[in-house]
Amino acid sequence: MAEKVTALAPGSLSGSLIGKPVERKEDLRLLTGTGHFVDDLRLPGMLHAKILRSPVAHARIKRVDVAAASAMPGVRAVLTARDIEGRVESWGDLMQDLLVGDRTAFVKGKVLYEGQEIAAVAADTRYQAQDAIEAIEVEYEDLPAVVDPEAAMREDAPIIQEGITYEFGDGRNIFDTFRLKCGDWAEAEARAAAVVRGRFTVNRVMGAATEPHGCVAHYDSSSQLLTLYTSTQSVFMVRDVLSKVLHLPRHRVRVIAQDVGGGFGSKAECFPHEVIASVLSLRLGRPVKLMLSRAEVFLVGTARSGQVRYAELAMAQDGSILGYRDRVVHNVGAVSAWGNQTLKIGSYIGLLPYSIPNVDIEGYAVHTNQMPGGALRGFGVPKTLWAKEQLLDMAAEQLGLDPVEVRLRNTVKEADCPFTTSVGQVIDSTSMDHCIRAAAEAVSWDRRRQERKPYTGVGFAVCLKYTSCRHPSLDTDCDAIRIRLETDGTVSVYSSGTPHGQGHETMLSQIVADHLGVDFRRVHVMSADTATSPFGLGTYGSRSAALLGTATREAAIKVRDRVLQIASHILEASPADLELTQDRVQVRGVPEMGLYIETIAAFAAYKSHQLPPGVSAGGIEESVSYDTPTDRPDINGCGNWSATYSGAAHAAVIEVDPGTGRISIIDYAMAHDSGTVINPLVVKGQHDGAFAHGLAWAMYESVVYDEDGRMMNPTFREYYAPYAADMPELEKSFEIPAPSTVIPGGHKGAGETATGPVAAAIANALYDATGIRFTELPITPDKVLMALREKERRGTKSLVFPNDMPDYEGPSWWSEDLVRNVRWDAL
Amino acid sequence: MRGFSWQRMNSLEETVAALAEHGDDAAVLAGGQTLLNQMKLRIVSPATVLWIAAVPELGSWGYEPDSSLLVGAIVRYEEMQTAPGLRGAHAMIAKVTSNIADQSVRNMATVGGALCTADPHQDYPVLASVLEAEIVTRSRSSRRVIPASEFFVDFYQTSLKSDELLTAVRFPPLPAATGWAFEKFNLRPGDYARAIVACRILLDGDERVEQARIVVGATEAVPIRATEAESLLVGQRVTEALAQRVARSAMAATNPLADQVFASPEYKRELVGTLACRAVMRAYQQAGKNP
Repeated sequence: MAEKVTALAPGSLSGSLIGKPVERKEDLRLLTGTGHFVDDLRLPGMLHAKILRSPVAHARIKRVDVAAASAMPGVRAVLTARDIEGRVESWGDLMQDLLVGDRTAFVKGKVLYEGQEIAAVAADTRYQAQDAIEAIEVEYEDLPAVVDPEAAMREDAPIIQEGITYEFGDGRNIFDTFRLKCGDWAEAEARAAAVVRGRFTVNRVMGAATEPHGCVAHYDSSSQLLTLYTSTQSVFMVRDVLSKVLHLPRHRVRVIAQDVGGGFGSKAECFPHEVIASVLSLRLGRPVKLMLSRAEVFLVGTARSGQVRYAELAMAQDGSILGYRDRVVHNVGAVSAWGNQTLKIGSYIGLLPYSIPNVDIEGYAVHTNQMPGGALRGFGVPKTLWAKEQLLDMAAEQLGLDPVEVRLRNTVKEADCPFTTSVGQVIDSTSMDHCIRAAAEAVSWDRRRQERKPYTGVGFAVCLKYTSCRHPSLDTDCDAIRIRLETDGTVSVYSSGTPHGQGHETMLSQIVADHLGVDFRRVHVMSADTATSPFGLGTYGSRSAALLGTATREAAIKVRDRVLQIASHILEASPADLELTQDRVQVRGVPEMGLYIETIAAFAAYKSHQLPPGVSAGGIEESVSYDTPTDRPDINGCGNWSATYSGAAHAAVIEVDPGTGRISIIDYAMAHDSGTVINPLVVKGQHDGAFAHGLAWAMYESVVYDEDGRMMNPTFREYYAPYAADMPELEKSFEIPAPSTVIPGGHKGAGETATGPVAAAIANALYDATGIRFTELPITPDKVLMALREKERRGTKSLVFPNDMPDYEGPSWWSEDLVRNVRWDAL
Repeated sequence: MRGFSWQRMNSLEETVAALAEHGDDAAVLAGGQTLLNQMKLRIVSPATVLWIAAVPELGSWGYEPDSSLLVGAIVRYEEMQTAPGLRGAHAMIAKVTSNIADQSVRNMATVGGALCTADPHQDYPVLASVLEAEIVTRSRSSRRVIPASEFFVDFYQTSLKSDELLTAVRFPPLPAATGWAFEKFNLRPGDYARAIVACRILLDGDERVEQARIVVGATEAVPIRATEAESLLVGQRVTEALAQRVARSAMAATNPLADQVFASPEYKRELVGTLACRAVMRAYQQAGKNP
C-alpha cells in the first residue's frame, strides 16, 4: 500500500483525474525562481518602510522623540501612536470573538511584549528607513515581566492588559475560558482499574515559513482605492479588518496575495505591519513596501500558544477509557490572535478518536508578556494529544495491556460510522481502526515489543483531526468558487482560497476538468484578490479540499448544465443523451455529432440566435458558495462543530544514545485517512510536511524567553528548525481512504493530520526505550541525557521527567473560588 | 548593512598598507561567511572593506621543506576538505573541514576567516589547538608567529592587532604513528557545536601512549587543553576503564558556560565526558593501526 507516488504529466493521463498524481501546476515557476512573492514587487515611486520595535517586553513608554529621525535624508514620513490616535481603531474582535480589540498598530502607552511596534518610518530606501528608525529616541520605564502562565494567574500578578475589563474574572490575566463536560468524572475515577495523571507542558513554536511576513500598500488617490499586496492566508480576513480599522468602505480596499511562501497558520490574520504600511501609503499617496526581517518574524510572527495541562485519564481493566479530566493553562501571550480558539478546538477535537463517556475539561486562556498566540498547524489539537496519548500508554502499562490493542479497543471504527461521540462529534466515516493496524504492522509492532533491545523503543499515537470547522466564535465555515467558461473554451477559476503551498491550482483544475470534460491544462486558477475573488474565509484548518473542492465541483456542474442546455438545443438532442468529454459535447454513441465547448461558449456570448428560447446572451459563468453543515457548541462545549474527520495512526521506532541523549528515529510509519484523495502527490507532500512540523515541535524547536520576556533565540542559528537531513525516510506512508459522507466529493483535509501524533508517538517510544516518561516539550538531547542521569542516580526502573508527582493534587492555582468567579461560556 | 567603501586588494603589500592606514575602521573580507552576517545585522559597520580573496600570496597550501603544512589565509574549506596528500594526523584537517556547516558555506568560507572569527563553537580553533598550529601574521612593519594557545583570547577575540593580517596557519609535522579523533556534538547536521573533544595520541613501540593531547571546545570562550587528562594517558595502554577516567578528568578541566539554548553547563560537561571517552578510544585504536 505504501507505493511511491510519482508525478505524471497531465498530457499522459486519460479519464478522470481525481485520485491521479497529476504534476503540480505551481511547480515550474516555484522551482525555477519565477514565482511572485511580495518582496518581488517593485511599483513606480515605491517607498520603503521599517518599524521600530520595543527591545523590552513590559514597560511604560515615557517619551518618543522622532525629531532627529524626521530630518534624516530620504525620510518621507515618521509615524507613531500619537499620529494615528482616534483615527485607526484597534482590532481582534471582528473574526475572533474577543470582547475587545486587543491588537493595535502601535504600542498604546505600555509595551506588552518584546518586538511590539513603537514607530515606523517610510523613506526612499530600506537603508534610509533603517537609519531613521535607529535615530528615534524612546524612554522606557521598565515593568516586571510576567513570562510564566501559571504565575500570571496568581492574584497578585501584575495585570498585562490594563485597559481591558474582561468578563471572565478580576485580575489573574485570564481573558477567556473554556469548559467541556459530559458524564461524571468522579464516577469514572471510582470505577476505574487505573487512574493516571501528569502535568504536561507544551512549548511555543512558530510557523517559520520560508517567506517572511510583509506587504506593499498602495493608495491611489484618483480611484481612492487602497491596494494591499500581502503574504497572507486570507485576503478577505485582512481586507475586512483593515477596512474596519482604517474606517474605509470595504469596496475601497483591495487585498491581493500572489505566491505566498508558506504560512502554517502564522499568516491567518491581519497584522500591525499591514495596517502601518496602509496608513503610510494613505498619507503619502505612494506605494510603501514593508518587509519584516527574519528576526522580526521570530519576535512577532505569532507562535503556538504554550500550555500547562494537569491531565488525568481513567481506564477500566479491559482497557476502555472511562474518563478524562484536564485543567489547562493556555499561554496566549500578551495579545490573543487565535490563541483562545486553539484552546477550545484543541481540547474538544483532541479527545478523538475516542468517545470518552466522562469528560471534564476546564481551560483558562492567560496573558503573559510573550508574543501573540496564533494559529499553527494542528490548531491546538496536537497539545491535547501530547498529554492524552501518553496517559493512555501509562494506563495500559499499569493494566498490563498493549498500547495498540488499547487504541483499537477505544477508537471509533469504520463499522460504527456514522457515530456520535460522547461530546457530540458526528464521525461521518473513518478508517481509524485500519490505520492503526497498518501502522503497527509496518514497524513490526508485536515483534519489537517482544525483542527488547537496550535504548531502543517503539511508540504509538493516533489523531482524528477535524477537516473543516465552525469555530465557537466564527459562526461560518464558508468558501466560494466562481467559474467562467471563456469564449475560446478555456476556463477561469476564481477562488476565495489563499493558497500558500497546498497546490490549489492543480487540485481545483483536476475537479473542473473532471466535471466539465475540459483539458486540465485549459483550466486556470487565479490568485487571491478581493476585487475579483468570491467571498470566503481563506486557507487554513485543512478546509480546502472539502470546502473549495465542493464549491468547485458544484460550480463546474452548473457550468456543465448550461453548456448542455445550449448544446441540446443546437444538436436537437436531450441533455440526458449528451456527454462532455475532451473539450467537446457529443451525442452519446454518436461521437461525430457534437460541438466543441469553445463553440458553445462563443455562441452563448456572441450568437444569441443559436440559443434556446428564453436564454439571453452572455458568458457562461457560475458561482457557488459552500458552508459545511456544522453546529455551534452548546453550553457544555458539546456538539458537532466539524464537518468531517481525517485520521492518522503513527508508529515510531527510536534509538537513544545514552552518552549524548540524542534520539534517532530508525523507523517511522504513518497511516492516514484523508477521504477521497484528489491528488496523491499533494496529499503525500502535506503529510510529510505536517510530520516535519510535528517533529520540529517534538524534538527541535522552541521559542525560549528569559525571565524578562526577551526571546533568547530569534535566529535560525538557535531556533532549531530541523533540516532535511533530520527527517526520517517516511517511505512507510499509507493512505486508507474512508470517503466523507458529508462532503459531496468524499474529500477530507490532509494538511494537519500528520502533525498531531508525532510528539506523543516519540515520547511513548522514549519511555519504551529508557523508562523515562517525558512530560515537557521539546524533547531535546540535553533533557534526555539529564533525565537518564537522574534515573541512574535514583536507581529506579522508571522516571517521570521533569515533573514526578506521586502526590498529585491538581494545579496549585485551582480553587473553588476561581471556578465560581469565572464566567463559563463555551462560546 | 550600512554604507562602506569596498577596496580590492591585489597583493599582500597593498593589504598591509591599507590596514596600516585604516586600522580599526577597516574590515578584512575573505569568504564573508561571518563578516557579511555581522554587517547585515549592523553588529559591525566598517567604513572600509578590504577584499582579500584575490590576493595571490594568501591563496595556496602545501608542505614546507621542514614538513610543516602551511595553509594560506584565503584557502577555502572546499579546498581543504578534499586536500590530497595530507600527511599523518593532518588528515584530520580534511575530515573535520568536510563536516563544518554545509557545502554552500564551505564553498566560500576560508581557513583564515574561521581562525580570525574565533567563535568558540566553531571547529577551527579546536583543530588549531590540538594540532599545535601557529598563526602567521604580517603588518607593514612586522611579522609574527603566534602559537594557537596564545592566539585565541576570548569570545570572537584574537591577539591579532588592528594593523595585522593573518596570512597563513602553520601545522607542525607530526609523527606517522599518531592516532587522532575529533568528536563533535551538534543538534542538527552542520550546526555550531555544543561540545567538541579532539584527541591526538602517539604510541611507543610497546603500544603505550608516549604523547597525548586533548582539547575541549565549545564549552568556554577559548579551547581548553585538558593537561591532567593527557598525563593520565602517558605510559599507559588505553582500556575502556582508563578512557573513562580520562573522560572524567576532561570534564573537570572545563567550566562550561550557559551560552546556548538547550545546552545547560551540566549537560555540556556530561557531553564532554562522553565525547572524551569516545575520542580517546578512537585515537588509541587508530594509533595502533599506524605503526
